[in-house]
Amino acid sequence: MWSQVKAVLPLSIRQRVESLSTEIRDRLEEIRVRQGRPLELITADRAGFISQSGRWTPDPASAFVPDREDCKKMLNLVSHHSLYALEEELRRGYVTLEGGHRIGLAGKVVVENGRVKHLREITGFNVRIARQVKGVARGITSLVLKKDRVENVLIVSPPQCGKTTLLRDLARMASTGLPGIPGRKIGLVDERSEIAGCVDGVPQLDVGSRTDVMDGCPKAEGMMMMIRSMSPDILVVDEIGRKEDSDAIHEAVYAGVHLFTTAHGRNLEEVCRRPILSQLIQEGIFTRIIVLSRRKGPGTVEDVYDQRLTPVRRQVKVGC
Amino acid sequence: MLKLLGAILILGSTTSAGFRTARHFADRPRQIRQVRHALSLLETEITYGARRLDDVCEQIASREKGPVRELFHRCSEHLRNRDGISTFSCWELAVEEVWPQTSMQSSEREILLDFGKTLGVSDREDQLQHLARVQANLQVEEAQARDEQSRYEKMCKSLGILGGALIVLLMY
Repeated sequence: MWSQVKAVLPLSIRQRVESLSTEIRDRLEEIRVRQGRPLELITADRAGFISQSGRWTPDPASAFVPDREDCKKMLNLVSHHSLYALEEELRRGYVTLEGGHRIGLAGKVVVENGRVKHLREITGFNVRIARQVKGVARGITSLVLKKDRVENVLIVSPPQCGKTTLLRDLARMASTGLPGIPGRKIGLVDERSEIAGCVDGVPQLDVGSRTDVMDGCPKAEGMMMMIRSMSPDILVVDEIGRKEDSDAIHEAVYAGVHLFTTAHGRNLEEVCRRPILSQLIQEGIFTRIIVLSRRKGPGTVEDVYDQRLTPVRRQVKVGC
Repeated sequence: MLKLLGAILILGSTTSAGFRTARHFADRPRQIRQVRHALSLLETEITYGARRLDDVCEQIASREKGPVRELFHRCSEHLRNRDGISTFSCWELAVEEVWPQTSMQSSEREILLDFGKTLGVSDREDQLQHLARVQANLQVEEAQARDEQSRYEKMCKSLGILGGALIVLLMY
């Protein structure tokens, strides 16, 4: 995993991060490079800087500061010297790397006709190291997957609570199959390359052996394309909530395709306040609504409801 | 006997010198044509494939021959292995390394180096514009090189033989 990340770091930064102890390095979640400001490192439980000599330091004053040259080199490494190939990525503001890691980019935005055209003078990089947690969905599979039945799932959660991780794991299990439960064909529409982390169309994270991925595709359109062309048993999409999404979801469900999806929200009430989602929920499209929180770490399952919004089972065990 | 041997040697060496110079005149337009072909491949890749520059260079290298192949192969290697130094530096390095092997002249070298300054660093539209300009410049050079070829290639060959013959005659 480190070998994939280090390929985009220029030597000056790479050497310093490599001189950290392996236990810190293995727990890194983000490496933030900002031109002219201290290099920041973030692990699961703390944030800090790195000294000139490559030691962890909480003090920004003694920290290593990447300069213009470092940022330029980093951009060359991230883009493989091919900015022209990254137009779409620059518009969206991030690049996906091999291994599903993502690099957020910040800089001067070039606007054309009121739309972001691309980024120039890129001076801020946020290397977000992907760690897929296999098996997080094991606690809920019995509620979702049965031998001859698949529920339509909506995962509700605030950001950073493991929504996408759970969705990916659920997709992986449904795709590969579990003991006594056959695998199913899955169509994954990955608008922001977050679920499968595709590079050149090939998933970098394990999304199961029977999963087809439509990478970087607008959700509603992608769902329709999948239904038309790939005959999936289950459609997997992240973060629905727009009018077009709801049309595509109707189309899918009436065509007998099942659905795993997610939505932003702290709890069920909050989601029900959003017009499109509340309509879908009232129609009883989702037969399992799973609410997540960070109470006992990311991915804590708070509640599971069925289509009549009655709790199915409280306090499901999570994790591996 | 010795005199005859010397005469043959002189004739042989002037002839080969003439042929070698002639080959330079013949190689130059061919190599410019190769470079232009390579650049149009690059153009296609940028327009449709949008693949990484190092991969494109490698692909071009696998299709071309001789020094042009070497040029793109070196460039691709530098792009991959030089810790993110600027694209221009990689290209410049490749051009410098390969130039002695080519028959192209300094005007082509200037065009190619100038092209390297814009390589990879801007969006698609801009890249295509630069490529079109380089193509136009190279086309002019190619026409000129062909002109020179038709004028001087044969002349060099005959000059080599005749010059040798002249020396031999004078010596006898």
